Amino acid sequence: MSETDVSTLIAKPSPAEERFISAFKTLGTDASRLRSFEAFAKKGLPHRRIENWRWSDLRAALKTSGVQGNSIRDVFAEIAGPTFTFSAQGVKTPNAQPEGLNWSEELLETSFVASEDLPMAALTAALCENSRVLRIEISADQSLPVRLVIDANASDMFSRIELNVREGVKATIVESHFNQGGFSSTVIEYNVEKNASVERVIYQSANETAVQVVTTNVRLSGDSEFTQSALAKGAKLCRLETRVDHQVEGAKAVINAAYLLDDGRHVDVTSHVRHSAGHCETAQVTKGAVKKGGKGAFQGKFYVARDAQKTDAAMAHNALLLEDGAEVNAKPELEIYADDVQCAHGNTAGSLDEDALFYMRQRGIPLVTAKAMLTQSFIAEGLATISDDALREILEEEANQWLMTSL
Amino acid sequence: MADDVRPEEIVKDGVDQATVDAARALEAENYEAGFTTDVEQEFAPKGLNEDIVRFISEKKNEPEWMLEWRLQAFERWLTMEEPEWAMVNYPKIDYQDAYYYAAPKGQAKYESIDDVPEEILETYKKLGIPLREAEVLLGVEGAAESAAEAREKPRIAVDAVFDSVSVVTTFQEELKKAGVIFMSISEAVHEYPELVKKYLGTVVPQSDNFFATLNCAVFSDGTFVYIPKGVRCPMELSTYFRMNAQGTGQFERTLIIADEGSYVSYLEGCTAPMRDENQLHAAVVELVALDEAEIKYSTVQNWWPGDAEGNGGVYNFVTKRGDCRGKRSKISWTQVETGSAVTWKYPSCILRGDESVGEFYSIAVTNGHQQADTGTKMIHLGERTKSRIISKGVSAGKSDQTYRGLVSVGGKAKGSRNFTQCDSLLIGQTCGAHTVPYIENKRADAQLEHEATTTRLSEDQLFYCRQRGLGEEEAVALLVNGFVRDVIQKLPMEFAVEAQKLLEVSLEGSVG
Repeated sequence: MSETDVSTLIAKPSPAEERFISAFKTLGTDASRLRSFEAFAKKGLPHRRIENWRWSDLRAALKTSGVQGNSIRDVFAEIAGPTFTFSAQGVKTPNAQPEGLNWSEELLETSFVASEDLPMAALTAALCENSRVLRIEISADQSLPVRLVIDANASDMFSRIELNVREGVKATIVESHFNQGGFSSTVIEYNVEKNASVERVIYQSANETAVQVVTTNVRLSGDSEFTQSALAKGAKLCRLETRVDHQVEGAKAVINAAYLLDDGRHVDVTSHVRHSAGHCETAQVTKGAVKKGGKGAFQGKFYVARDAQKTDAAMAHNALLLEDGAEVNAKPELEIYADDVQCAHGNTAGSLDEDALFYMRQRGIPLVTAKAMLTQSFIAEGLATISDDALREILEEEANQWLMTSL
Repeated sequence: MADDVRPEEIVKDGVDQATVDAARALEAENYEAGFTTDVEQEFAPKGLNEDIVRFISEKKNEPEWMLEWRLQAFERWLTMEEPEWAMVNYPKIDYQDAYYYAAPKGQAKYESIDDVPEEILETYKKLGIPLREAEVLLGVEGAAESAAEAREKPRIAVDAVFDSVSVVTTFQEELKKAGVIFMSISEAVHEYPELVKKYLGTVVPQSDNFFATLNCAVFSDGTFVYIPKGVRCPMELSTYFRMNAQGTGQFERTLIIADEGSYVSYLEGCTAPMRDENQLHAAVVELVALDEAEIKYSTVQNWWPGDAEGNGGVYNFVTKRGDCRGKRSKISWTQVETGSAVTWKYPSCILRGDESVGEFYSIAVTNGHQQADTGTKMIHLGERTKSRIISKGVSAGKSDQTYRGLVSVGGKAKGSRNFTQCDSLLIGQTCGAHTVPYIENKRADAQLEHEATTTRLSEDQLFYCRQRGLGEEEAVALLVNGFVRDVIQKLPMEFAVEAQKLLEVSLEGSVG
């Protein structure tokens, strides 16, 4: 394809889209990149009229270009373990190589990135430089967590990671997603094999000019377990999207999150769980606390295929609007084609329980402390399933710090 | 119905008899309203263009402003695209391959009930809608009941719409004494142009959506109701819509205005003959409740759903919206949806007045190849506004059903409150039940709660019913009745009976 052809793929490109077109041209004309770019170009940057992006207008957020801010404090800095750092310079891999941990720059199982449903995954596949593509193989139990640090600066940054956790293996993956003020899009694919068990713990933090998209695809084999817990502080626009596919019977997934939003911060926690096989379980709890000027969005979807009988899936999203001027939008969705299933979802958005506050105050607890205690326990539910005490305490402490300064 | 019978027994007995009756009937005969009426009709030429819009307006002898309004809408409609976001699939509709106007030959509105062709009166009689006021008054024709007894009977004023025209409106005189205006919208355009001008299109604007805009351009008839200040409407009002002519779309338009402190309960029923082709029904209903007024709007929708193979049936693409414009006003939607091949319908409330209340109670049953994407929108704008949504969906056969709802709390809606409960029940392994609730909140002091469950009929409950001697279908009907009871209780008495009967028929053949 000639250069002019690529330019015409997007009608009336925005400045950001023009940037992507020229970045694409410098990367050469690899066929798979072109396929991905075409998939992205069909609709271009998602905006609020695209149903799945109605509360996250990426096109509008990328109207202004990035501004470099301070570097972000990593709450997991003290956690020991092999660390992979993705930055403008490429990937920095661990110095030592524990047994059963291998990595390579070749991806193996790439299938979903060219999908038009996931425009940002497609864009990432098209524009990710080879220096930020990494496949990690875990073939033996890991005593220490494997750490992924994605640290973007003010320029555009795309990263692709594939994580294959082999049969029967247990692993903890700790991810830090930082952005100092530019645009970053990361695609992570988890392949969890039979009887394997993965704990994924995520901390997201960014400066207020940052636009951050993290798209994760998780494939679960028979009797595997996947537990995900995230603490998100938001960005100018931040989207954490997780897609889980229960492909074989007996898989269990937990996808929990907590978000804490200051003025000018946005976070969009989106998930799509597909039950393709029967006898699988999904439990999902998302908790949020939002201050004036913050915007939280939750989009959850359970899809239960015709044959996925005996599915057990429950979804909850509960948000606290700490002040007037905060905004929370939610869409907890069920699409169910099998009749012998237990599926439920619940959603609440509002303020703290007045009765509980009153009770605590009449027991002598000052209002501010009472509010802090109730909010803490409320948020902690989103982090409660982290089995590693040290990791859970770090995120709980981070949440408490935020609450102390916010209430 | 004797007074000494406990309500549970009535339900059970009713279920028994109806289920047994229904079981005798063949699949296609389940739809009792599927007959056609042989009456001479006149049509507009097939297709849709500016001339058809002018033709409809001319037929109705409309004033210039009404024609202008229609043409404006038509022009806008040409630029719009059919929405595709709903979870329904149907072949592309050819809007040029339908009649947009069909009316029984003769005049548009009959001077007196005696002028109405016997075939049409027969049609409504068959459907159980008595149009002769005497019959309504006395319950049964010729029965020698005393006038005192007659007064105690619940009375309902009916506006009967047959394809594109309102054929008769009953009890108009009596309602007039109370100051209530109840007439077809075509009459209202002539008799009360100021009221129509003031309110038409203020709740569902011309540009609202593809189907509503189409309706603005070609709407044929419908009902106009105005309840003056402080009046409690002395009887239930109702409109009965009947599609008869082949290849005809029905585009009715209803406008109800409840002035300060008034109350009205309005019922709407709809049926259509069984035909192999799909018929389009794109209605618009606008409700306006001023200060402290209350409107209760109930629908039993039983359009022809298509046959067992999924051929034919009505496309029901309806825009219904209520505007609680005044303080402490209340609008309540109750719907029982059992018919139509494809339903796309979201009766909504705009809670503009402080302390206004919106309610939505819905039972939707889909069977065979039916598809329904239905729900509500509650838009909280005023302070301390409240809304409640109770939705019960039952899917059976090869049908798909989606609850889609929006609860939105604006920045000024201080202390607003919403409760939403949507439950889905799946009967059989070839149907689908989906829930898509949208929640948008901009107030810290608002309380929004949403709960949803999806289950199938409990094996234990079925087993219990069966070992007590109930047949499988009877047991299913009983359990489904229990599942939807919260909503049935909200229906006016006259409709509750019809609704329960419909539920049994709709679920016929869903077991086994």
